[in-house]
Amino acid sequence: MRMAMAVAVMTFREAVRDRILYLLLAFALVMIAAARFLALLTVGSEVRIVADTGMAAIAFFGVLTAIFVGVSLITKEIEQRTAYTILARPMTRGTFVLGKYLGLLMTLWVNAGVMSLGFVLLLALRGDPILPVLPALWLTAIELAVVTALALFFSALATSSILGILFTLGLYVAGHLVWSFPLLAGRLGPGWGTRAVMAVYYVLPNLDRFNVRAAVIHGDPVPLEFIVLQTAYGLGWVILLLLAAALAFSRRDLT
Amino acid sequence: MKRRQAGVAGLVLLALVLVAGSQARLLAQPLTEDAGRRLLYLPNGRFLKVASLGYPTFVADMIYLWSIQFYSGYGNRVDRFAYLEHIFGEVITGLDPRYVDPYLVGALILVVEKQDVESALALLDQGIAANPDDWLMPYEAGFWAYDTAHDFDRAAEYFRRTMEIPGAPASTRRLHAGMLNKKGDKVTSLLLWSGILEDADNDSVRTTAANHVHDLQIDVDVARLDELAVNFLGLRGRTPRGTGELVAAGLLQGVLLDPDGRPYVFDPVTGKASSTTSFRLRRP
Repeated sequence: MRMAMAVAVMTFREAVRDRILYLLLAFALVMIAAARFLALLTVGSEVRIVADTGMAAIAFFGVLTAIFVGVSLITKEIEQRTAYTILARPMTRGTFVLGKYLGLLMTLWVNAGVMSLGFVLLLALRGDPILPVLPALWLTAIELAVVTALALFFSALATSSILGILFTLGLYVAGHLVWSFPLLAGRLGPGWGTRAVMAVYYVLPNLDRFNVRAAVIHGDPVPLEFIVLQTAYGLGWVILLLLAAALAFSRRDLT
Repeated sequence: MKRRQAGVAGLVLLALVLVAGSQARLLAQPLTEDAGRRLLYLPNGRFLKVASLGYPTFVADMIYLWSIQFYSGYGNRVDRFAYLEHIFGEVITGLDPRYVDPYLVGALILVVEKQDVESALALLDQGIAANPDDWLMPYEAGFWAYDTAHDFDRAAEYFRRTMEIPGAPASTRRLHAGMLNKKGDKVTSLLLWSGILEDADNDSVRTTAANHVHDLQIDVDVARLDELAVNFLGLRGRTPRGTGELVAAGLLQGVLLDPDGRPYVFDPVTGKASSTTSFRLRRP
């Protein structure tokens, strides 16, 4: 674990030097601030538009960062041959993957924390309620953890960053469309097609369930039990994806 | 080197003149495009929900903001309302059926700008079905049905539904009672106003309710006496002279007095009952 933490700290230091991180962070903060002005253009719904835009900006730019920085984590190490130096030390490839993951997650959560702070500050300045948005921010952080694991898995599997980005984006999109699979199965009627669709439905990570923004803006309560279960669901996927990433990376020929 | 720098500076100047000049001319041109055409390819909200990739409420917000600017910016063009129901009833609310403001704003534009109260009520009906716990939409629908459509039956029904939703303002009960009166159901209206009078928690409501109860009591009594007068005519072959004769004929339990304690009178020719007491509220 000490080795993994060392890799994590190194990854964090490396990631915070990445300009794309600051670019995305700046975009997100501008968008959160813009929510204040968007609210001026509406008829009613000011609170909703500020909250919705802010939460969407945090989730969207967080995911973009996770994908673009996450996918390049291992591929870049291999391309620049730094992985060889690190793996020459007494460290398993699984530890290396875990360290990389923790480092990026640390970066993302710090990033999301800065965005959330800006957002909460905006709400406080407007006098809008802050407490209801916290479950949405927490579940966005958990979703980011899953997407980061997904990006790392494809980073370990794919031979190029572009392929990794495409795969991760594809699964992220599919993960957010999982809700539509039972509808599709209903249209197909009984048969192998329905079974195949439903199999994919159960196998894919249901990322849309991390999205409680609609509930928050409509003033619906988000039960603690749901938050705990959803966190456990996310943690389960992170473990599975990290194991898969470690397996893929251990089988990768680095010679 | 200096020639090269001068060349670059010249190119920058030329580009600025081109951009600024064309921009100024373009902005000065009146908008000639077909407003409806802009909206022709706006897909249904259910499809947009898939395309929004997990951000349906945010996309709904953006289209709602855009729609407000769109309907504020096309002056009196005839085609500006061509896709109004589509935008508010399908696109925005398809993305987020629980987004209440687009139903309300869409209905407002339909009534005030397009003068199409039926479409407004249809849009609000859609919103009511999607948000059964929200009292604002049936309340608004009741108001449009009453004020613009003059359909008191529908208005009464909308206000009845509003009354049943927790959080609805107390005024809804009075509006419901008022609509029942306007549609001619005076007996139920009297019952409701009597209940409002009993529950009144301030002088203003108490006075209003008392005035309604006063006038409705006269209306209900007169309608009943008119019916009894017809029965009396069948029995005695003449119109009654007073309620005492109706009591004597066994048609009425006791002498009926109006809310001010005065007896009702009958027109000797038509047999129609009336009160000598003045109504407290203005009659339509």
